[in-house]
Amino acid sequence: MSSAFNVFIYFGQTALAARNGEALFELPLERGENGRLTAACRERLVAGLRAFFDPKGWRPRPRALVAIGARGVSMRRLMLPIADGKETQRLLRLQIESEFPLPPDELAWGSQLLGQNAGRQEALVVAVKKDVIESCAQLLGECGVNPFFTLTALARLATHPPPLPGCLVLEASATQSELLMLQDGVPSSIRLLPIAARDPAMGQRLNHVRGSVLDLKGTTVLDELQKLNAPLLLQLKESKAGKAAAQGVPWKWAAAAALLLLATIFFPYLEAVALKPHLAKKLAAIEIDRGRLPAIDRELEFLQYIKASQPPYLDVLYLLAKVAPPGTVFDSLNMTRHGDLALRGKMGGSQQVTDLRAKLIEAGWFSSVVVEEQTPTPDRKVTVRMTAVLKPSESRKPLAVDSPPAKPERAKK
Amino acid sequence: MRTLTGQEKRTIRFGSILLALYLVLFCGAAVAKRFQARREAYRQLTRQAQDVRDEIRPYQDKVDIVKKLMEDFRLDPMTLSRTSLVAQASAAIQKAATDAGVAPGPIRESPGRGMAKEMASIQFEGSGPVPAVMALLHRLQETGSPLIIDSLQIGSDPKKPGAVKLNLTIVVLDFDQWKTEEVPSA
Repeated sequence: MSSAFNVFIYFGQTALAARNGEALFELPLERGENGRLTAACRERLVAGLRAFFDPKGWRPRPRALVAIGARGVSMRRLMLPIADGKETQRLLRLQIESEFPLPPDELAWGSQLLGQNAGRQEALVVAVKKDVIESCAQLLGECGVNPFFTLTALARLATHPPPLPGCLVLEASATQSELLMLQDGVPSSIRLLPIAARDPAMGQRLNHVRGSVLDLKGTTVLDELQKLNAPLLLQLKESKAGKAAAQGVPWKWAAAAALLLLATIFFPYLEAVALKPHLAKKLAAIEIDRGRLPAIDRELEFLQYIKASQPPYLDVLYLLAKVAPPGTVFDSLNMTRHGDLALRGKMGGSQQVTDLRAKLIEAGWFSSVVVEEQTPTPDRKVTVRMTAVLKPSESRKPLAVDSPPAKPERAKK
Repeated sequence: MRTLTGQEKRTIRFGSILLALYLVLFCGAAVAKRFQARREAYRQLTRQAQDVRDEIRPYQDKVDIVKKLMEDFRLDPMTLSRTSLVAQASAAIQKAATDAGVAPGPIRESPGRGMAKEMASIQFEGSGPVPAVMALLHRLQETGSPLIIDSLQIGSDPKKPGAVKLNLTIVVLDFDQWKTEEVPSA
């Protein structure tokens, strides 16, 4: 899990140490009366760390595992009913709400499940006021790293295993000491003691304590951090920060990119392998159907021939009825498929014959209209014999069809 | 097992890289060649499919036109039977005449002109009022037989006042002759 981090930082009370690969950075810290870094120190620290990390815009931010001291930290071992991951988180929140002086939303907290016993599970919860972590996170964010916080005291246990299941581990620094209490080999609480490593009375004060006394430098803490297998992470937000830190994000993206690239390169080949049998089968089916195409052609040609060969007998009869003057009697009418029309009938006079011929020509359906014979009869009428030749269908004018007048109007008149 | 020294590890790493390179260069080339050949075959098949698609595309319109014409004439050329076609056509003409109100007269059948792809020629005589004759002319197009009215004669019927005498020469087309002829490519 520690491989998920590529930068390790010890954020102590009096000094900050950072390791980025083989490179080391150390800076003494100056704090004000409120325990916060002085403005000058903060400025120096940001400038120094920025130069040390040399962040590039195009590069993902390095993930830093930051070890903080025990100041303001609260540690509890809580018993919970056995539940799945999400439910456990919810139960932990409820327990924190009841056990800690501040609500979970105002705390940066982390937990680690210790084990199960008699239908319950035990969890180690470490919490600190959110402000403490937020100020550190903001500072480190300005330096171009993505920080994940853990407790220095927990890191120590990685390299200095407790000699007994129940003991105390004291880390004595120049100004103050951290006392970690262990029960059954697992931390149960942590205290900050106002005693210094150089205090001559320290030996006397601790003569009743059975345990280890350590005096560790910042760089040693970095070694310990690197050896942490599954650090307990203090989360600012109740997200899956721990999981995100554990996942090798850049590697994941690189793998996805490589996969995408490979897919792009091999897709045409895979397409050929995968789709060829399907396409061949489909093509074979189409080839069989292709045999029907000439039949469609023949049917079309046949039906179009029938349509084109149908002479417009009804249209010609309608046209004659329309243009013939009143009183005209046709004795016979002959017409052929090729468009030859022959008429014989009786009309009111020669003028009517001339009019009929003119109207037939005007209609635009006949190429020639010939009055072959007109003979006056004793009853002042004319017997007429006419021939005409129908124009090809494409040169005929469209026939105007008169609709019969509406009956109701006629009734009104 | 003995722990490997750094130099041994480097040697093994270097050897592995060389071996991997060898495999990629030689086996990879053979595999790539095989895949390339498959891809080329697939491309060829795709081109063939595209050609077939281009060839078939105009047939969608043709099929639509054929359907429309078949509906208009109530005629499916593929179902026409050469042996019974003339008999069917003759019966259909008489039925159409009767339905329209034209009294059928003599009907004469004669063999058609083979060159004109005709199977037979039917001469129909009948008489009836003008509207009935008009209706018959209209109905003859929807008999379900491939008929073309070759000629039409309408004259007065001296026996029946108000009626006209109709003489039609109807050609029955032979679809089999369309089947055997070479169809122009689409």
